[in-house]
Amino acid sequence: MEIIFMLIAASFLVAITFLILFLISMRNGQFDDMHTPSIRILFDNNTKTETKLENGKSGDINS
Amino acid sequence: MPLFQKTVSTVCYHCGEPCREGSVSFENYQFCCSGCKTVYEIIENNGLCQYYDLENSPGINLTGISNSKTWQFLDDLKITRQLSDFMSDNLTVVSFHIPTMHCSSCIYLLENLSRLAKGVLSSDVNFLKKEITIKFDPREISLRRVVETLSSIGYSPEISLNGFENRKTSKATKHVVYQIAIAGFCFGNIMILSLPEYFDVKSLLTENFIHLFRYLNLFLIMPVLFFSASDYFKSSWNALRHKHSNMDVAITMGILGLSIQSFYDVLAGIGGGYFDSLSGLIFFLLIGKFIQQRTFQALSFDRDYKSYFPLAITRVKGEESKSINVNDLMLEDEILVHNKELIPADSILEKGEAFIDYSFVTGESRSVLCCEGDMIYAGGRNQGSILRLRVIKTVSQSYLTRLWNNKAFNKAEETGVSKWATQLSNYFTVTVIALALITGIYWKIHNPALVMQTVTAVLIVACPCVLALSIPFTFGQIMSILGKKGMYLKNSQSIEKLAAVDTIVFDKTGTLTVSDNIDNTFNESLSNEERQWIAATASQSLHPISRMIKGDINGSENYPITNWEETIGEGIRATIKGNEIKIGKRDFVSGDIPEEFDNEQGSLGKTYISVNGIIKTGFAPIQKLRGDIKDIAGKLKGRFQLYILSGDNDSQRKTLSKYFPYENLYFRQSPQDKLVFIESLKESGKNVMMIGDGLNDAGALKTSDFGITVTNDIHSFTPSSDAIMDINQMGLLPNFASLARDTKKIVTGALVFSIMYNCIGLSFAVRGHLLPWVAAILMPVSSITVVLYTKLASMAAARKNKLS
Repeated sequence: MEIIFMLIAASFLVAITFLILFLISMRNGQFDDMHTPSIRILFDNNTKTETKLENGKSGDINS
Repeated sequence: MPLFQKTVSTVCYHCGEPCREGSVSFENYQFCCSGCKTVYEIIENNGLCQYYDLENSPGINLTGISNSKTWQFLDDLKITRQLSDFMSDNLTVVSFHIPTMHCSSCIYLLENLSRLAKGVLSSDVNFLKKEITIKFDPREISLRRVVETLSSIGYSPEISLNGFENRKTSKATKHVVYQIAIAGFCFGNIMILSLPEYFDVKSLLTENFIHLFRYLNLFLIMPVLFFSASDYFKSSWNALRHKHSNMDVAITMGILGLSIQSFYDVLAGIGGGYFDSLSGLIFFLLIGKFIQQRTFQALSFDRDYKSYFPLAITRVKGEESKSINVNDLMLEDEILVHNKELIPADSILEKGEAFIDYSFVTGESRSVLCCEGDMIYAGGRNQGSILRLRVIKTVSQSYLTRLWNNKAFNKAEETGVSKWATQLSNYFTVTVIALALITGIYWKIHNPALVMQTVTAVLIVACPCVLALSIPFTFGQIMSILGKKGMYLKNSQSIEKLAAVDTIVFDKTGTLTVSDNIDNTFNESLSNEERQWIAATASQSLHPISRMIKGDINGSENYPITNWEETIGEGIRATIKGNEIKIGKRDFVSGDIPEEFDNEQGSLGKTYISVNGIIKTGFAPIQKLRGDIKDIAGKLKGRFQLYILSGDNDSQRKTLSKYFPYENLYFRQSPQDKLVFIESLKESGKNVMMIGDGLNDAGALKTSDFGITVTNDIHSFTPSSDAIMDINQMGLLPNFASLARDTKKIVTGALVFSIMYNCIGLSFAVRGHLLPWVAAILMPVSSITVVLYTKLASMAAARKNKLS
């Protein structure tokens, strides 16, 4: 039954990882706008990619 | 008008307006005007034609928008600094609100701004907020150029002194989300670790495991208590310090009861405690709080006069004219005000004559003619050519802005706590404490060992969890139902205020009337060609009546006009194909006036039109009342006292008295009068709802218990109020009001639920039988049933009021 110790530790680790990932993405503004990205994904445009990368950082400056 | 029917079949490729005569074709596409064609060319040249593939005719027609707007003031470094979020030598970040943004094509075009304007690094759209964040290199492009580019393709940003005031609220919402995330994480894990407690698993697991699980729970509850629940502690501490009680006090009592008991159980090795119930409780409460905080992000409910005024104004000094911030205006400064611009400060007209539209300030629909040396009040809108004014009062001392010094505007903001909840929880708290005391005394006599256990059990069970959940969930539901129907509430507490209303005060102009319409349709004696001539003549003038005529005839023929002449204050004349057209006052339009045009209430203020010296028609511009006014008034009459406060003259008193009680109609009311009137109604014990649109109602809206701003475009500027309503939904007002009243019934229903659960729980608790698993089942089950109940009840109420 000692394996349960291991299992608890493992499940805990996984859960905490996801919690931290959620908090980080929240902080970076991933959930600020839930609507626009759903439209943005429909634009088939290649020149947009470079500006996209820039946008990822916008949260740091604004917050 | 049969004349145009053949041409309406094609629509503009850019904006979707029907193409009439005068339309242009370019590259196989038809455009309604050259403005649309120009925008198309800009887009086409930059290879952004996907704009037209995403939506049909997504463009914005530029004709209604004045082109005279200059963005010169953006060159002012002080203003730039105020507007930008971030500034450095090689990067500037600005955010703008763009009201015309409406579809996915808009997002496409705006996010590709970097291809239209060199120097723009990137642009990022938030569609729901109608906001764009632009990053650009100030060495390559100026802020003014960026805004001009936006404006040239039809997306003029809205720039005001207020800036973005609602950023703070989004931060508060984020904080709650963090708290929910932590509480949810701990709740899930604690539930798993608590499960063995409920079964007899000692045969399976050794004592070690049980102890490990309990201590892990103890560890997991810490962030829930100290982070997620911290706001409840703070709020109840504040309440107690000010010697009153609120819902949070009752919640805190429950939380403390649960945690003390649980800590004692675990540390003393008696049992597993109630950690699962505790974390679940906090998790559900926070979700309720999150729902309560949700508002309509794109709308702004707290604007003051500053939002209305132009940011900058052109000041003339000698030969030089310079754009300056309106706040820097000094006495005796000379300023230039362009057509359709607002006058920022009380001033004196230096030269010529001017038509000033004060409808914004007073509600009076007719423009006022001012002559040289006349005083012009701030808030008036220039209707005509450029004015030269001398400032005699600064912006903050002007007539309009003084209104804001009234105490109504300084009253403390409400705490955001529901009044009903506060009232209910006061009874609740007292009852719970009394019950805990009685239980304690009872067990003290009969079995002292059980005192501690039973008292905490009572506190745990009686926690007003169900109550605390039902109000936010119900309000959230009702708010979104109203929002779908075009009524946007400032926050969920507004529902209570709406439910309490017993008196409704209407503004007339813009609220009960349809704007810009001539009541008298043109005389039948006019031929189609004559109508076209008149429209062509009128289209050359900026005078409001000319524009009304043009709008009514809908003319589009291009006639060669000769001898066009405007005599300010008198009328206009023109010659088309050798026929003389005159529009204006009676004396101006010489000739015999047929009696049929003259018998209606005198000729004063009437406009006459003559063709070749023969008067064809005469009319007075009257604002048409809404078509459904009878319906609205009829439905409201029985349940509410109705009043009308109008800044306009009483020409429509007779018509209005058909629908509203005659003695409750008030005309020629200044903004201050309106405010005072509402105050006196309130003093007589009424709960007043004010419905208005313009700045002239701002004071009344703010003073009233529940102020509704009606508007054509919910994203346009509206005075500070409790709700913003789409003007086309006015007819639903009675339904909205009765839905708000039903909300109270729903909450009462939830209270019955709460009492029921508490009775079951308490029956266990006072006897000393509250086992952890009973609490663990009771808590989530009660929360979930209440949420379900509020959802179903709100939907039923919406259907009952025909709002679903």
